[in-house]
Amino acid sequence: MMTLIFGARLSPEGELIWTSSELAIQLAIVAGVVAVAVAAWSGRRSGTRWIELVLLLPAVALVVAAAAGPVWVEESGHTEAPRTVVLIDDSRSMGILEGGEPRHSQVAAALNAIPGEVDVYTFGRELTPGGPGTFEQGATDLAGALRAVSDRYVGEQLAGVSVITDGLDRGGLRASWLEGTPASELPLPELPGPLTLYQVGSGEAARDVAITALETGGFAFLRQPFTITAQVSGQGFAGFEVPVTLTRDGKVIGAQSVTLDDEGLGEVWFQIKPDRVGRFSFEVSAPVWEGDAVPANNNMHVAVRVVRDRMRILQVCGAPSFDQKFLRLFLKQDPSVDLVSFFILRTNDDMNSGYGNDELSLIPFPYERLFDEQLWTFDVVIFQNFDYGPFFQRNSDVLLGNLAQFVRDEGHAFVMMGGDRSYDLGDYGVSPLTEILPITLNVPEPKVSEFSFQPVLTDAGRVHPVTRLLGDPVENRALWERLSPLDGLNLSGGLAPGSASLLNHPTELTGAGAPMPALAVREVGLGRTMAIMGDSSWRWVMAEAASGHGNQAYLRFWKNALRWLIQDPESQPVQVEATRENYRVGDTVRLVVQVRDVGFEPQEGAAVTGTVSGGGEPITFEATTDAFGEAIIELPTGERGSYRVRVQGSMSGFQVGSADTVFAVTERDPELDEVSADTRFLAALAAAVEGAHYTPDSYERPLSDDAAGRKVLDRVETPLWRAPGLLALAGLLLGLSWILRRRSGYR
Amino acid sequence: MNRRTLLKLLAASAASPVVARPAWALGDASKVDIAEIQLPTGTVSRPDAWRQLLYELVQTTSIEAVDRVATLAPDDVTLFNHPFAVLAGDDAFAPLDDGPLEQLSRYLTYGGFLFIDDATGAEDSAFDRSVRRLCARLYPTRPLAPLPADHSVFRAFFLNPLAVGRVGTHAYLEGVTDGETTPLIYCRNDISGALLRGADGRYAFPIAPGGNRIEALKLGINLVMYALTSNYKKDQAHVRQLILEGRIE
Repeated sequence: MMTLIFGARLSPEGELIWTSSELAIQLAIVAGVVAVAVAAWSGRRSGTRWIELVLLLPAVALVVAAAAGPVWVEESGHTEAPRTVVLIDDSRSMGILEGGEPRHSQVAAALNAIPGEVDVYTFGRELTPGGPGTFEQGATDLAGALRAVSDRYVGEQLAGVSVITDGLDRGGLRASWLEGTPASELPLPELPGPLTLYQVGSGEAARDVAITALETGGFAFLRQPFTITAQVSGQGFAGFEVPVTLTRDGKVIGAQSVTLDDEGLGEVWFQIKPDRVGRFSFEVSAPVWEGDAVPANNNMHVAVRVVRDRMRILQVCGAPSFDQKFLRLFLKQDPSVDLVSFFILRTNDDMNSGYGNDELSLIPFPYERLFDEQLWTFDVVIFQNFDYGPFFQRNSDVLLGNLAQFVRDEGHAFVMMGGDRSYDLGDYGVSPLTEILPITLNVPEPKVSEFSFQPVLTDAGRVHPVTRLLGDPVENRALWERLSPLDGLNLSGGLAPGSASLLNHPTELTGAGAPMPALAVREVGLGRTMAIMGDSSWRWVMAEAASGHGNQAYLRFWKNALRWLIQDPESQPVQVEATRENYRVGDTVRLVVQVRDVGFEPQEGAAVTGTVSGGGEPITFEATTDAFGEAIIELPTGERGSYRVRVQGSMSGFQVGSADTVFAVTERDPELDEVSADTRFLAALAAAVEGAHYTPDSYERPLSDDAAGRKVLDRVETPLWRAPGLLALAGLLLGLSWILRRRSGYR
Repeated sequence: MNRRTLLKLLAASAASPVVARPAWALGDASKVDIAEIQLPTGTVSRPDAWRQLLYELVQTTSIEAVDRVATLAPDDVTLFNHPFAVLAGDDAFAPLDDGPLEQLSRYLTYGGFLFIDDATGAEDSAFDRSVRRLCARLYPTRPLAPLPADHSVFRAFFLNPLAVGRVGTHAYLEGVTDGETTPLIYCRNDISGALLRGADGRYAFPIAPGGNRIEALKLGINLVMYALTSNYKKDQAHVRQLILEGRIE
């Protein structure tokens, strides 16, 4: 019956509320009063009038009440079964091998010990719903994870909180405990349920060899020895001799052995003498032993930037001259040059002058030492009107062969300057230097031209960095046309293969009919050479000074030449540099690519393409240079290792050049610093909170709070304004009132 | 070297020009020569003394010199064709005009070398005063000062030659040092007078007490060698070796 009237069963514990606004209720009341008043004001005096009013009044009252929006509200609740929360350690230490299996393979067994429905989370640095995780996180913050659970389940009592971990907490909790803080005083949150710790990892000392740190000093000087110091740790390998190797670009360049001390620690040093400028990536590695818990930490990469302290130049001159004077003045005044000069001040022809050696300040020419053991310490060797014959009597082929090897195989540079002791006049046509010189020798008489001439800039010379004295090509050409003529020329057979002539004699021709080179360059093997076929470049100083132009042309020529000869990376048209040599995992690598034209002017709008290779799939990128000729590329770091960046720059479809560099991602992984599961810490932690701690061989059901549970509230709202029985009653009363009114003759 | 040997050498030198290089040399234009600066008053012209020095250079050292002494004014732009210049005098000379002074300054700045020789050999001379006035104008901020005994000019070829010429009035050289080089050196002992011969091949001037013709010749050779090699003899390799052999301390 109640259901028929109200549309639902109502409980006496319910509460009636009115849902309409006060204004609506007041308007409804006024409307009801007006309706009744109108009905009563009809002027009738018949007996049916009172009956009509008796019917109308409750009907109006019901309508007004319905307009007030009555709702019958009943509230009740029930208690649900308590939940269990499981936290799984998702850090990399869970991947440590034990018995050939990763530690996280024990997680499934721990989960099997926990009955019923569970809410699973993984944690490393943060708490993440779901599981089982990737076990690749670089942090383990146990206290943070427990705080997050406490916040998430605030007001709710859980059956229990279970944590599956190896106990190698990096969030500070374990560190405090190791420093002596009692477990009971550790900053743990109020937990919403009893704590059960499932330990994965046996807790016995795992065996692991690791390279834990590399020290390089960050940069090194060219041809100056520097040291890479590697810290080696060998947990479980105390007293073992561990072989350690050093590789550069995959090539082994050093090997050492270290006997680990009682704590399993050791240190090895590698001394490297860099022979090139640039960035180089080194890898120090130790072999993976049987049972090695973490093979991934057996190597470490580091990138070292090699810079040139000073350009070391050997100037050997057969006789003091004006040309030698001005070159030495230039070289001595350049702070970036470390000059070693040897001038032949007296020859056999001068021995009859009657002066004894004691009167002279001459010293022996240490040619054997210079061109054997010391040769490799120089960047550039200059033969200035020097004839080797009187000096290299015993082993000229060996010493000059060293010089050829110095250029071709070791990437150094050689310059020969003209004069009456140079080229064919110095019998170099039968020496090993013919393999590296930019010109060919053994020309027939006459071997020289004694006449002054104005050198002509060649097509190659117009764009070559050596002869690009001014950025503007037209001005540069005009400058070369203005420079003083040269006094004479050593003749040659023309260009050697792979060479380019930058300046030619205006009229002299080679035997083959080609223009006679006056200045030629060559890239031979790893090195570079230059031939100046005269001994009067000093006039480029004095003639310019005479006309008030100073000596800038001469200085620029030699500066350009030296930078080109030593293959200064900064002289390349395309350059790429990472802003740092070494990055940590998660850092952003910032690459700066510069594109310049041959005159070293920045190139705006140059297209840059590049790849970064070294770990996994190569990353490719594209960019366009800005007004400063620069393009900046930012990339995320990959995993630990060495990475090589190769870029190419092109302008209007033509390749300008290419460059490469390296960087290393070298972060030491703290997750792998310690490898043994910490049984003691987990046991102490469990005891401090009256929890449970299970080792892998003793997994049991977790602690559970039987009294825990969750009260769920129910709220039932029954809108009475639309209760069918009441609406029908109001309609019936209104209808009867209306019928009665009509029968009384009213409308 | 004894006196007889020296006389033979000098006699031979008087009779022959500077020995020419073989025919396949690159020509003489860039070979070492000397520019002799002449002023309207106060200077003396002794090209034969300088030719004698060039001859001795060729005979004694590996330097390829040419028998060429260009006599020119300080404002002559061809001065820049001769990076070694001399100025010898025996009387006061008028201060240089700005143009010649500027050119001479530029010449020295960009690598030219000037040797000034007081031909009077006197304790005090009008030429000396003019020289000091000239140097003060050429180098307003650098003094004309005595060169130390270990200056490279004293080791450039001969070891520690005496700083004497026809006379030995002042047993030192003076110079203006700019950085590591000394582009101007001044001698008051008449070096050119010690080297100069007459038309008959005899020396033009007798040597005064304290003077020394051989030492003057050595010093002259050292001056040219220094002008070409500057502080080469201060390079570590040379200093180490000379100390090792006990020839310098």
